[in-house]
Amino acid sequence: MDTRLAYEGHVRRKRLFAAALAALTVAAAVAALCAGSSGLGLGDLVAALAGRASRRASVVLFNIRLPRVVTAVVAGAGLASAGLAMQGILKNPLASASTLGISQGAAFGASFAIVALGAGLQNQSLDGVTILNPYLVSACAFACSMLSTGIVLGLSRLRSATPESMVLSGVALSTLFAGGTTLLQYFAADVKVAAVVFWSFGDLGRTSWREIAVMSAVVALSLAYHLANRWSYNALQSGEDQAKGLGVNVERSRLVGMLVSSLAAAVVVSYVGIINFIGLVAPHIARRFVGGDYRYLLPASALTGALLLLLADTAARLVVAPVILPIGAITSFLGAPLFLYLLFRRKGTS
Amino acid sequence: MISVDGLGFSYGSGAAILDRVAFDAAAGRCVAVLGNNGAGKSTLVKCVARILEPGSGSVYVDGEDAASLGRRELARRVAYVAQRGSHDRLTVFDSVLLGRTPHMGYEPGREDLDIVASAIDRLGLGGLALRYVDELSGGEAQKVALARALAQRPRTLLLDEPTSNLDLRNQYETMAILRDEAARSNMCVIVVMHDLNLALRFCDRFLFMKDRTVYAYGGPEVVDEGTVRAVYGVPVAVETVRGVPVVVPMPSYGEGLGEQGGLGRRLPVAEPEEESA
Repeated sequence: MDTRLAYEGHVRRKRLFAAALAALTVAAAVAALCAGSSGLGLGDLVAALAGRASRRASVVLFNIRLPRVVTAVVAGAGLASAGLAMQGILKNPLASASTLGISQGAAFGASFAIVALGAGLQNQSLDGVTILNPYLVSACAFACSMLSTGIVLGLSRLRSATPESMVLSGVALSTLFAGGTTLLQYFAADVKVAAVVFWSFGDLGRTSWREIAVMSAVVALSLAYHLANRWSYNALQSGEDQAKGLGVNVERSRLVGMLVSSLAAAVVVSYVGIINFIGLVAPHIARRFVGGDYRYLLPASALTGALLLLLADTAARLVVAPVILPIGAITSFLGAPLFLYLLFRRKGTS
Repeated sequence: MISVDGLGFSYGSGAAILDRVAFDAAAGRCVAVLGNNGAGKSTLVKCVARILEPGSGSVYVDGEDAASLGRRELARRVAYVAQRGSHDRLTVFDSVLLGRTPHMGYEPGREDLDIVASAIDRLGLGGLALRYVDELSGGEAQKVALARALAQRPRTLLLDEPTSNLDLRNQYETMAILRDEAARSNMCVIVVMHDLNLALRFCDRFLFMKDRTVYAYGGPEVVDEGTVRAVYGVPVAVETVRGVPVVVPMPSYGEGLGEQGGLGRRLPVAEPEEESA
């Protein structure tokens, strides 16, 4: 069976690539732990792991840097896998949390909490702005982003809409929520506007271990769901009719898949703020390397998202240290040129 | 074994596409579904595969009501090949492997891989196994879809114009494979097609659709001048060339067609929509 043997070699290469990507992500995570303005390096990390480091070093490594690194990995993986699932389910390369109204919904919810419910205030004496009640802000952001998802999915159920109209209604809702956010800001006091803007920049340093635990659980569950349905996603790539002929319950997997990925994206965005580019670009970068098979594309996309966000955050911390640049801007600056390069390099050869 | 009884379908509250369609197709048979564009041929096979939910009537698969079978259980018995071959960024092997999804658990086993490899070799796609489907020609993609359906190992195989993108040689090879598989695996093959001569050559049952329902159904004897003329609106001659029955369109012999009327120029020599695919 030459054909089978050739295929098994092909599968081994894909697995090897995924393993290499995982190793690279771990290496980037260790590098991120060792990078920062307090002058602690790999030696301190090893000492701290062995319990021989100073109290200060341990605090910096485990209470400041480690939560940040874990947040980057979990948020990157969550946004990327959600984006990938949405792109596959809707058969639209532009689908992601930021094009389906989830990010804009979260931004509106956070603005509402800060402006109308008084959850945020500027505090000049410390490092700029602190959000007084981060729980309320996250809860409102989450509620509004799920509201946006609910409207898109509800409309599609009600009128048995096509994937295209789901994307378009997501775009319409994005605009609606963005308009609402603008209005809130227009009538708000300066200090509150500053807090809103600060929130929407995105920041990986806001999460405590408790929030990380919630976020990790949701992201892990959504990844597990998508992995369990990877054959359905593969079948959907051949068209809706063909997928039905292969035994896929297309309506149900579309609805549940969208719900699960929106939930993961909404949780991430509610905790860390708007990080626009990862969910869109990480799946496309991964697809360039491993092809369209969701068995490898899902883990590869999640790892690519984690890696991109880690690198972006490390860059954001180091470029003009000790100032930390807004992560959303850095992901765009890193991701967009990389993406354009990959897009046109392949286009030229095929 | 497929049994269709009183099948009706319409999109929403619109006009009926199918109306009281009834026929039986036994195992081992190769049934050609024939008729004009818009006669409801594609809709019929989609209703049998339950890709579309019939508005009325029933479809029985091996004696069981298809509505009572789950989608996965149905996919183990009935395979469907869509009109347009897929153009996805999967390798040929992975694309054919999808045919095993109704049968396998979380991961394909060695047996699944062997079935896929033999389906690929059966259609002569061995050299393309690791190429991406979206880099193949239309005809090759169509063969991938067919290989996937064979890998599904169904009892009934439904195909919507499986030869529309193929050249002459590949049309005959593909139809020969379908006929042989029907006989070898005692599978019921139902093919929507336009080429009457290809149908006559390889199929043993002929189902003519007209005005949303079955106009004629039976063996080669139903393919006569009267039926073809009534179904397609074109006068034909059915002749035998070296023992092979052939249908020859004779539009110029018709009243008002061909020479005098402008209609003769529009007669379907080749379907423009298929050429662009």
